[in-house]
Amino acid sequence: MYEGAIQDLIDELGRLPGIGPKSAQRIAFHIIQSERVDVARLVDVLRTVKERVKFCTVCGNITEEELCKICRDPRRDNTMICVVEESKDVLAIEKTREFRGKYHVLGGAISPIDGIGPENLRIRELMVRLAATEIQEIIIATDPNLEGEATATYLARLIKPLEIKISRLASGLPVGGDLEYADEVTLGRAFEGRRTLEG
Amino acid sequence: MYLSQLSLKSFRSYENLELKLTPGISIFIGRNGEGKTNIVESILYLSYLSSHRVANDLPLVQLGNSSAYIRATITNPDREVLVELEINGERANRARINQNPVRSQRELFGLVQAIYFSPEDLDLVRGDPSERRRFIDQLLTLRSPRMAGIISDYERAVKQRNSLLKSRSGIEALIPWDKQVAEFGGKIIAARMKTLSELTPIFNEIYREISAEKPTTINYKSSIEEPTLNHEENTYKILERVNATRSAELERGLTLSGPHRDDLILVLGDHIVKGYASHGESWSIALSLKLATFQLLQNDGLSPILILDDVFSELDEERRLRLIELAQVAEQTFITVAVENDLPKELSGIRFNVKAGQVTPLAP
Repeated sequence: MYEGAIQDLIDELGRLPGIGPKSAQRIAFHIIQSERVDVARLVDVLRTVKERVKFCTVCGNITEEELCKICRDPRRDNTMICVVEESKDVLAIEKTREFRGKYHVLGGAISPIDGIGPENLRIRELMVRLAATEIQEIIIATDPNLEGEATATYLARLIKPLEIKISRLASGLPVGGDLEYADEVTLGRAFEGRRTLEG
Repeated sequence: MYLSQLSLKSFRSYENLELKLTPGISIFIGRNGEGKTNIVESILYLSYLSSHRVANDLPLVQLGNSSAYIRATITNPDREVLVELEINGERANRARINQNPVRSQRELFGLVQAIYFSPEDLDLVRGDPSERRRFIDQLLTLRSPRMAGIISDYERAVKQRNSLLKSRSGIEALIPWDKQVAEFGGKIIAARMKTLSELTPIFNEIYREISAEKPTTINYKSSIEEPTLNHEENTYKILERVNATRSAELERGLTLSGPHRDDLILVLGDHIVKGYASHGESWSIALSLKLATFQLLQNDGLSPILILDDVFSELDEERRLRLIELAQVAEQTFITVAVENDLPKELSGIRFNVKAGQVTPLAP
């Protein structure tokens, strides 16, 4: 244990995701040895990010304005919504340039053990959007794990009476990879979701 | 397949242990508490990713350390695989295969297959249903490593669902979890039934050989009616049960249907073994089950490692012979005994003396 400020810093850093006690210590010493201006810049961006960045009032994506870049874009297809867990999933799908519709960020997935129920996610907001606009298709892109699947099922049941087309992203083998390197769960899923080849 | 090298670091009583191993029989001799079972426990851990002695991993980590390490070289006819496992007690374990970190320790399943015989095997016959569920699920995982993922997803889905039931949540919130529990549960029941249907004839034959003329059976007792080999039918039946027992589940805050409530019922002649069989009969049944397991894996084309942990003192002459025969055909066998006199004379192999955490080869 160090004393005073340095230990406070290590403790704070250690609370960040993906940072263990060793990494926290290394970062703390790096900060101590850094130039004053560099640290000041870090402090500035931390403060700014917290002040400026908020969530889009329509879709829940991160933005510095009232509406996020995608919701503001008139060229996007208003009839399709892709539902994701986190803002970082929006970025991942955007990189593919395959999807030209809009998004809805839930802010997580249903997980009763962690006390996260449907009411803790932005599901009510989604239903309001569906009622108010001309949506024709919903693509559910929650994570392909237990909690993501449960969230998808919950949404599908909720949306079904509205008679909107609902689809779920497929899961299976990564493209460009070797079959032998796929883990057994993915491979198993891929087997279950196999398709007939039209020859 | 055999292990050609095993090292333990901060594992149980071993600060640092380096063992060179060979195919054939290795015998660890040492008094109780000297650490011979710890060695075979580490090998079993590589195979099952859980200990056969304790439910929780914390006791595996030597006191005063945060992690224990098992490192082993697996020699197959065509290649060598180096597996490294870091056991963290309270956090998730980490594993590497040929120096490459893997996403989950579950990827280790299937690399090492080991079947063990130990005095605890009697619990298979006399213990709680959980002992028999563990037995069949371990066998499923050895035969098809993909089952490990399904079992762990199932257990998590049940936990999530129970957590909802305890909070007396509404039916709409429960439905997604009903579906997951039923889907994974249906698959587990189907897989258990299939393995059981292949295991039972072998078990019957072995039991007849080592024991009496009484016929044996293993029945799958399920929380659903007439479970089948078809997982979709099982899923449907679990959902039916779930719908029929809503109020009872909410009242108790527990998921009442699914493979986690099932049991294997061992039957001997016309009575149930548990509670009726004599000590000797119970041992014969436990032994036959384990021998059948070994045989089944061999039929699958696998060559499991055989581990005989402190069992000779428990068995009579004829049953000992049975195990010795098996030890002689297995590609690699590890045996632990407290005193050399307990070793059947027919048994030859490389001997190690285990004393105060030191393992030294004995001159032949």
